[in-house]
Amino acid sequence: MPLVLKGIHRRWGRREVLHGASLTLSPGTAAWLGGPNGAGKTTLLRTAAGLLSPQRGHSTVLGLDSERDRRAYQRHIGFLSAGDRGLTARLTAHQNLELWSALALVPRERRRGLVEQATVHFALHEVAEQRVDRLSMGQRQRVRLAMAFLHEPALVLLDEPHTSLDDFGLGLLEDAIAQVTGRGGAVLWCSPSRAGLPIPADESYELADGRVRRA
Amino acid sequence: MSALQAEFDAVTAIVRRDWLVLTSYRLRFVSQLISLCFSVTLFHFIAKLVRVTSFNTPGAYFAFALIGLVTLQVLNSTLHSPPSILRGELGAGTFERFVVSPFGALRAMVAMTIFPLLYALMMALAMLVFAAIAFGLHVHWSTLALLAPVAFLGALSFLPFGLLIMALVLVFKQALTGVTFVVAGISLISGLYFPVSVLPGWMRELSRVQPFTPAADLMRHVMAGTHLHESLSLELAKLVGFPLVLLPLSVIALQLALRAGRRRGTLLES
Repeated sequence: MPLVLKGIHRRWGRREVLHGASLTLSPGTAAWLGGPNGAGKTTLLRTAAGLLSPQRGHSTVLGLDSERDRRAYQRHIGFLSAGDRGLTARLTAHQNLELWSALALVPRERRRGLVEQATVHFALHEVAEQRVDRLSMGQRQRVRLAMAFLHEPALVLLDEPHTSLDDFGLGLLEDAIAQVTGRGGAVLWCSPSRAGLPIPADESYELADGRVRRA
Repeated sequence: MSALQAEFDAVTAIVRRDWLVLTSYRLRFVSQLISLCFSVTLFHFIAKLVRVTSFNTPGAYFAFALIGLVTLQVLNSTLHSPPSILRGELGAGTFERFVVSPFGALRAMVAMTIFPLLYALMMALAMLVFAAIAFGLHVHWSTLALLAPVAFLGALSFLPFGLLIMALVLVFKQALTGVTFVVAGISLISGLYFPVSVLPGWMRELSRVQPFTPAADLMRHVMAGTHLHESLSLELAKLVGFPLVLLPLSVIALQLALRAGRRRGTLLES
């Protein structure tokens, strides 16, 4: 399975945000995770991304455990955090993609092709040689999305991916998600609400009381 | 083979990134170079005032203090620069990329120490060249070639301290203020600007149990032909021994800091 989250617990101080949250995504699935602000969507996504260790429970991707098989696990993850951070401001869009392709341990012979593919896919050709701190918010978001999809991960986790995207950008994102699900991967994206967002979702879930429920 | 190659490429990608970021600030390199030349000039004139038995001539003190400055460059590049870069990464959210990548945050942090070190060595070389051309610094050409391996060993012996500070930054988010004190303390007890023989007894003892004194001592020896405070083999043993013992410990500390940060959820906090 591209993602199995089982009995995830996470406490922030006295407040238990995730209370045995479980979620399984089958191959070829795009799923939406909703819930009000503070429900724990970002916490769950970060746990699945390997940025947080589950205090209880476990997370596996293609049978690989996020703690035991850490490096192999991370190879299969593509992650987009909420907001506009995570880019090296003084580098160009192309240099940011190149850097990520190296950190993702993409083999040398495939690196140039995948960077080019991500550049084309997210329509970044015109801004590829511009420094990212000189790009518009929407263009930056496309660079960030390109990094999440570049290394062809089996699981793509997107935290509020629609941020700053215009209709054109949303269309590119829709295509990228379709490509992942088309090759048997899975995509989990979250936002407080789905209303009016054209991002595909075969399944819809909601976080309430620290647990995942079908919406 | 291709797996190893990919790891190597990730390291070089981080070094390249740091180089590109540095060169994107066009005046930074030039201003740093000018500031170092000023420091060298300052010590050249201070040396003219020195009339003590430890140094036969002002030129001897100038060479002594210059190597102190070079050591301070390398010291700052290992103790101050990588934790500063890490603080920047945490603030900009780019550290998250390392954590989520298969290359991993631990390797990335170690790789982040490489560029500052190379840069410091380059600046140190520039200082020596400037001192030789502008002020006729007396250089022992016969042993000068040994300066590079000695400086490398010195940097390697300082590295664990830099990694430990990075671990502290991950845990407490605020360790850089302390680094300034640490660097000042080290420059005092390791005799960067004056011989340790002028220090009180207990401070001289401190100068024997850290790698900074032998690093400066050996660099002075190969570059200016000064006498070593201890035997060559003992000074070399210290320079090799400290990283051998401390590097694995500092990597473990970094690993624990990362694990604790992921567990407590504070890893990405700035």
